[in-house]
Amino acid sequence: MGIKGLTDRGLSFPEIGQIRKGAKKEGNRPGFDLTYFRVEFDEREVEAAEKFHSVYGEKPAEIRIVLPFNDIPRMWDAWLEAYTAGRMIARSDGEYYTYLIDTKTGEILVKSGLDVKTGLPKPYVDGQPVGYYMDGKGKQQPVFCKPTGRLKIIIPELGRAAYLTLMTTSKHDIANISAQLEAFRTVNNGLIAGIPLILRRRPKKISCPNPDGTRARREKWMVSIEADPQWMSQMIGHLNSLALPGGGTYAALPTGETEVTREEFDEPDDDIQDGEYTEPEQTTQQDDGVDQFWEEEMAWAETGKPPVAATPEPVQQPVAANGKPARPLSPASLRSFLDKKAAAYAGQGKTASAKQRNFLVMLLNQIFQDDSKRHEFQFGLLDATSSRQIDDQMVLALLDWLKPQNDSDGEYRPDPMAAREAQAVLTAAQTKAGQAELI
Amino acid sequence: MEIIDRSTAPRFIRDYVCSICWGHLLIKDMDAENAMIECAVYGSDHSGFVTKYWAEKQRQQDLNNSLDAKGMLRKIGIIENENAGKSEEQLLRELGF
Repeated sequence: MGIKGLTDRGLSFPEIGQIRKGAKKEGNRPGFDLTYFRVEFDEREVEAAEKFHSVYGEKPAEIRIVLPFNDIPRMWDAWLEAYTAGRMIARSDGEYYTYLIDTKTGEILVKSGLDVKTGLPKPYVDGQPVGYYMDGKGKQQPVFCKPTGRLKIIIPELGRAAYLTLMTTSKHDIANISAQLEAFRTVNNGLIAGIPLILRRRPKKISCPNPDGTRARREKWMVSIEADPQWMSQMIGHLNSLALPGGGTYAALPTGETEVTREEFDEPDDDIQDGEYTEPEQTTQQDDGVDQFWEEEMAWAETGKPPVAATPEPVQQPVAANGKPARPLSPASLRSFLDKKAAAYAGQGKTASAKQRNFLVMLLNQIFQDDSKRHEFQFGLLDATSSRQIDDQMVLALLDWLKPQNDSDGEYRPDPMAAREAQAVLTAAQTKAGQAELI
Repeated sequence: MEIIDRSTAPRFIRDYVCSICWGHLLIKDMDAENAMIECAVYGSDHSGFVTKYWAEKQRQQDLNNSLDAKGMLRKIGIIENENAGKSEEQLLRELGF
């Protein structure tokens, strides 16, 4: 029997099932540990369930998966959590509470990591009750936090943009999964989405508590995320070539054509002779990259007035031979041009739709591959901590600047020059933030 | 389905939704002290609650998640590109330009 109502949430990227390690609960007792994964789909996902079971059977010990995002916190969360009366009453990262409510009054004591009364982080103490509940005999019982890990995974064979959640309450699994995800990310230059992986159950002897308080080592079937062997062998080959001097890109030495004698090797190098060395000419940067769009928009060049920098910057904007700003534009010049473009849209009474706004976010995410970097870019260029704070007219101006093009896969990609300018804005913002911290 | 103190029940259904379907909750009176809270659609088939704030936050993040996940899945060939075969004018019209 499947899960009822999981897909009622109305999401574009929905959860369609859950993957668990243990058998179903029997009363209040936890289900016993299995050697395979227990996969439950939403009741309405009949086709997905049939497809899955036709490939993996009813008791899969290995499942091929891909992860949906490069940003690990977007798809993997692991906390210490406590529940009573069906809802979460406490969540902690092991050091501080991120959420805590009073089980007697329902009042929130800690929200977003801060004590609501003091405004300071509230330390978490392991082993201390976080609340109480009344048992069937009317006796007050303490509630403690337990580790909980949830990982969003996509199963390629289903051929859908939908995910299942792998649930685990084992601190060994949580530590292992966190380490493995970080390792894949490091090996693949920060990219983890789309790597072909295999979710496995592997037996491992771990220390478990006995009823009398002592501990014993028992075999448990832990969760392991491993790379597809073919992908891994290609990655190892790539890493081996990078380890070579010059990243393996230097040409092999010629064999036997010229013989370097000891005399030639020891002779001092007197290449430079009087009269041959000349000072390089001071030339303005040739601008091959000034687009038609910027030629139309750069009215300041026709008037002969230099651009007004939106923010002070140490680097002068290079000027092309025709007197117009050369690309890549400096952050201040970029801001100036975007302001002019946005003002023109405001004059025409144009506004951006929600689709256009989301499209902008998607294009920026393609450049930065990371939400936090995108936010830094937005703040550095526009003083906006969120894309929702960007004016409609500025959204349109940014889309014009990014000039999205359809590539051979049918994907929209931002203009490479715009991407370069965006990275320069991020670098400037990060440098400024670093200088602020030093001050 | 959960039995809670009756005095906290109104605040409970104000602040929480069903953890599985994110639907509204109902109070069913039991006695002077206790009330039963259950999912308005699936009743006692569902258990567990999440805050409305959290569910709403997940909905707001969903579109971005969907765009990123679908882009990745198209790139690796898991799903097809629904924009394939459309002209540039058609695509721009759909985007509102």
